[in-house]
Amino acid sequence: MELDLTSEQQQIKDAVRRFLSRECTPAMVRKMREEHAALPREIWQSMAELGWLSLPFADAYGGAGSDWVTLAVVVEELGRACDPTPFVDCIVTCGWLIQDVGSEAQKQQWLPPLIEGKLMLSLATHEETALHGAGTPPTTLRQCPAGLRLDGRKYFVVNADASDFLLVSAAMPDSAETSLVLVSPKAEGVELIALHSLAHANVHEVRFNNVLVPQEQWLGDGPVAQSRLDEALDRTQAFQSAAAAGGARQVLEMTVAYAKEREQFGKPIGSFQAVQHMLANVWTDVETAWLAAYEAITYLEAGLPAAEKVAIAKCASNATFLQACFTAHQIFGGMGYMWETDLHLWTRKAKEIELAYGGPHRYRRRLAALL
Amino acid sequence: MDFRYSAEQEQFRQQIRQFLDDNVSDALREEIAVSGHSPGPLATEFLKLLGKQGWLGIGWPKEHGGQGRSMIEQSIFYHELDLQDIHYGNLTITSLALTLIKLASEEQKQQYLPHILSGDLEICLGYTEPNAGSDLASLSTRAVRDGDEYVITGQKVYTTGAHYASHIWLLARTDPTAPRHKGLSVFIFPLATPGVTVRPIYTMEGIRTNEVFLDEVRVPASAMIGAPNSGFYTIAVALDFERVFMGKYTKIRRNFDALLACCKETDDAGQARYDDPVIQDRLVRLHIDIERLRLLCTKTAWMIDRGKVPNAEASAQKILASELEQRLADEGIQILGPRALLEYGSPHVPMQGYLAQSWLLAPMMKFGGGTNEIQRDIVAQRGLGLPRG
Ligand SMILES: Cc1cc2nc3c(=O)[nH]c(=O)nc-3n(C[C@H](O)[C@H](O)[C@H](O)COP(=O)(O)OP(=O)(O)OC[C@H]3O[C@@H](n4cnc5c(N)ncnc54)[C@H](O)[C@@H]3O)c2cc1C
Repeated sequence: MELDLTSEQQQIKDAVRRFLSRECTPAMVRKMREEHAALPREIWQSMAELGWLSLPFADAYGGAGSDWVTLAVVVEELGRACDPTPFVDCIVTCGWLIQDVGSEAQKQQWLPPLIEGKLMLSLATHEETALHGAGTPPTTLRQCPAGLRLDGRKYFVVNADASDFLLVSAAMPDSAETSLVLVSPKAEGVELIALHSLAHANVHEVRFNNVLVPQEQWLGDGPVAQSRLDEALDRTQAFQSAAAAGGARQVLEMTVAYAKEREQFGKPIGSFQAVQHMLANVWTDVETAWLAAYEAITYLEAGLPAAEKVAIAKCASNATFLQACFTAHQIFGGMGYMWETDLHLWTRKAKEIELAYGGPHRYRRRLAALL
Repeated sequence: MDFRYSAEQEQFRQQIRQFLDDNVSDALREEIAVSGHSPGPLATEFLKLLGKQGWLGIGWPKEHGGQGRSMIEQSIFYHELDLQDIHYGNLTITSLALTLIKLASEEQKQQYLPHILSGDLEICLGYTEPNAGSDLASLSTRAVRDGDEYVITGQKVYTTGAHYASHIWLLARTDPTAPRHKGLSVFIFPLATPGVTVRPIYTMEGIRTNEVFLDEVRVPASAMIGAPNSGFYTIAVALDFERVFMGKYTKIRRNFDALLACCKETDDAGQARYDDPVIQDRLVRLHIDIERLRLLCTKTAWMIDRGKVPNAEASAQKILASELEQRLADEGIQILGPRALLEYGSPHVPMQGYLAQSWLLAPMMKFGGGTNEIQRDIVAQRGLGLPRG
């Protein structure tokens, strides 16, 4: 048993934190969110140069093939910085899916530019009524003489207008399996409709109207089992739990600092027991949520059964992140409620990631089935 | 990073399991279930057997007669005991012995540790007084130096186990002129010392605790643990160990699993409580929180193993465990209905009456060992560095 990071992992964690505190300041997060803008490409390029985009990929494609805890500390730090990057969607979800299900030629084609920061991908699997991974998606794919034709709608596609390709799930007529295709958002018949969420995230509805997809952009050259997609989403959830735990810890630290400095009745508000107890509860939640996230990640990495661990990490970390924000609002009072102050950036993020890739109900339902 | 037990530790677990399978009888379980905090003859015999076989000092250093294994292995042992329904609340071993190893003189270690291991020496805790509960530093029992001795006068209350323990571990004021926290010392001495009177009081759960009166009790100066007037530090160390032990997850897990099994039983119409999605979700939420407690327990055991004293972690663990125990008992009774009000030994009792027993015990878990309010103060002040009020 070992619950500490190795010194290499700790070094990467520190480096990511330094980089983000320089490049991804709350002011930048705020600007992106106010303008629904995508991450400046230079920042993504720097992340590529630092090697972070290569972490989950095999050596053969230019990847670092790193251990999962290293990747997790990067994601945790991104969560701390109220992650303005498409890292989780683009690298942890889409890139890794290509590595999982792509043919050798496809991996050679797509992964190197992804790792070099030249290719951005967005996941487009969410349908209006379907839950992620549940059931067969009604978006359909048909064979035609020129290749494949795609029809349907996807919702809450993150960063769609800035991405070079969308990774879209679709059903073939007469196939119980799922097809995953890469489609350019600029292809003919693709329409992007901006959605305006309380999270201020850059999200779109994407409509596909008889879109021609070249045969070689069909991942794995044919349909794949739905379970492959479900596995990838579970992995994403485990890493996203580390991001939520990181976000929660950041909000807790901001709140503690404020409680030590703000005075009322002639003393710091952090000396009032009612305030201390709220913060003690958040600390306890953050500790256990963090442990749950890393336990799920290390189990997945070891190839052990982890469906339950992932569900627990997801539920625990999201509830914790939200509770940390709600508590922070209470303790910051009016100061934390003002547009110019930063707290609400995290509050919005906490709600956004709670529902991303499938909300807590889906995971509690899974636990009910597993118990 | 690795959350799993090593192959060696898993093998050790098998060894313990085998030993317990061979030595724990239903009669022993039954005796423990009905006897509350006063061990009966079988439990006493079993404790001695554990001592003789070296199971009591798993995590202790070899030079003190322990097995020199890790605290992780020690926690595996208590986990396995709980799985056998031996809910073994012996603070002498889980808290005081570890404190002695850390703070006592070599002579004192020789004097006490072998007897603790053999199961002959059991110590009760004399902290609380009628006017000193959470504000322990205000206590008024005095110990006055007289030559080679101290003369102790005062009163303790809720001294659990004083009617069967051999010794008392007592906090008393040795310097009335010093600031409150700095004039206290810890003593350990036999309850049979002249001047000690033990009287019973009974709790709401029906088990016995005691009042202890001290009337000019003379103890040798060598009965003092640690330096004079360092008693508050000594008991802080002991309480951190105590909280790690009080915040155990296994018993809660075991009882959750038993509740779940009850919910899955089908009635004559072929229906189970677990078919109800409302019940499913309540159990799922409990399950998630029990797993979070398990992770924190893993962390504290790992910390102790690495020579760190869990402090905010120990307090958080005690808060989580005590509140979860109450929630599990309270919701469990709701879910199973009036049958779950039945106590051990009653016809129709489900889960051997655990839910009823635990429901009655739960209020105490939340204030005993330092109240949860005080624990939250500790987390806020020691864990987060917030200023004292
Ligand atoms: C069954 C049982 C067994 C016990 N066994 C032992 C034993 O073996 N040895 C021993 O020494 N003691 C023992 N105790 C005593 C136990 O440790 C005390 O009950 C406990 O420390 C609380 O003290 P109190 O009961 O005097 O409550 P009080 O200290 O009077 O507290 C009452 C309430 O006031 C709150 N409160 C007090 N101070 C503050 C504050 N600063 N901020 C916020 N809230 C506050 C408390 O949190 C609590 O809610 C036992 C008690 C019981 C019931």
